[in-house]
Amino acid sequence: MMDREFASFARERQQQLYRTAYLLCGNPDRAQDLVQSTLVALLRSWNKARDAEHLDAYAKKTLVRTFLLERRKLRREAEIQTLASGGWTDRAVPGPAAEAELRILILEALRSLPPKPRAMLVLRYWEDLSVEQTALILGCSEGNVKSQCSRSLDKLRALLGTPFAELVASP
Amino acid sequence: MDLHELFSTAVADLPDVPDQVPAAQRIRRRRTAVARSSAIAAACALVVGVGTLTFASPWSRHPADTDKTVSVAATPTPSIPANITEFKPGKRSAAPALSGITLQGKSLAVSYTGHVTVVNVWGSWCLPCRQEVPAFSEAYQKLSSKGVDFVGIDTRDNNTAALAYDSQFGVQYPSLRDPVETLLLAFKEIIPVDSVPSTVIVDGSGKVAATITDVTTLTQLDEQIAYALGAATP
Repeated sequence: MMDREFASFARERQQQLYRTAYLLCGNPDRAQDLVQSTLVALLRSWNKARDAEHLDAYAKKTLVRTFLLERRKLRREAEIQTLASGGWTDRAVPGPAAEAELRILILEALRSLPPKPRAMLVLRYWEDLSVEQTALILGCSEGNVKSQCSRSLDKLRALLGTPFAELVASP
Repeated sequence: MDLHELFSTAVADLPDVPDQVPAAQRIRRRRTAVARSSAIAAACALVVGVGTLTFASPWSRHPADTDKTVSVAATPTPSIPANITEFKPGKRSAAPALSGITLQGKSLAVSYTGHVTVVNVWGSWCLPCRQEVPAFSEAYQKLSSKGVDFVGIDTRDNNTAALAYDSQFGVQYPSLRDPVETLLLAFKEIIPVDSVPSTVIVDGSGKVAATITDVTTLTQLDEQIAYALGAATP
């Protein structure tokens, strides 16, 4: 019965979780791994999750926390960051038709942020969560979310160049 | 365009991820099994270790001491294994009606009332079923005279192979043919359709008292049957 409930919930949500995971990892394979470990974690605490007031929020929380935990374990972020931060200014800004280029650009810009601020942006602007909900999931203060997000937006604006400056204007 | 739309662009062409549910369930099941077997191994090691120690030591002259030590170490923990779900008497739902054609070609309508019924889902193609079937045969021989009924649901199977399986393992209770999972589907709210073997224990009023997914043992069967009978479980 438990497996059944879990399966129907997971099948309904896994694509949405996968998209969020992709924004967090910037790589489809790692995103798939992340979705899988998230589902395993959800299944392990299914009795608790099932009684959670908002199962969806619980699933998001599990996803983000699994992501941060794995990042902390890997400790590879420093290298990725140094690799990603080189050569930004030389990059030609693509025309609006170059959707693929734009996608790579936004993913690389996201990857240049450390995991936690990146997770904050994804929760705030992709999942459309409030400052309060984001703070709750990440276990930090609301002030922290506000200041980190505004700093991250500045960074994105600087990275993406002037044509994109208005795209990431502070909402 | 705002940041949300920008993110949407980033994930727009992303193909769907293959279904991750079976893999997640498999990993979870494997981890539980590993945890369980290492716990059992640790318990055995403890019993053996303590046993050796007491027999070898000069303080074990008094049999009472030895008994005490061993029994403390061997006391099973009262937690329910992960593959078992027990339902308290107030929270039980009615077992689905079960009727069909047996492997031998007779029609059979299962009656649940007045006795505990053990429903086991199996298939001759299923390797774990072969592990647990001796426990079912033994439980049947021990308990059928005490009024416990056993019935199998032989799912996605070939009838000849199923009959050979039953005679090989000395299974004496009837099984219903379920080549295309019609019977199993009736149980979809109770046990996962893709979990073979699984077992449902129905109490005397026709309500589901416990479910066991995956391979079970004679001890687990005995405990769950006792639970359905209303006896206190250890």
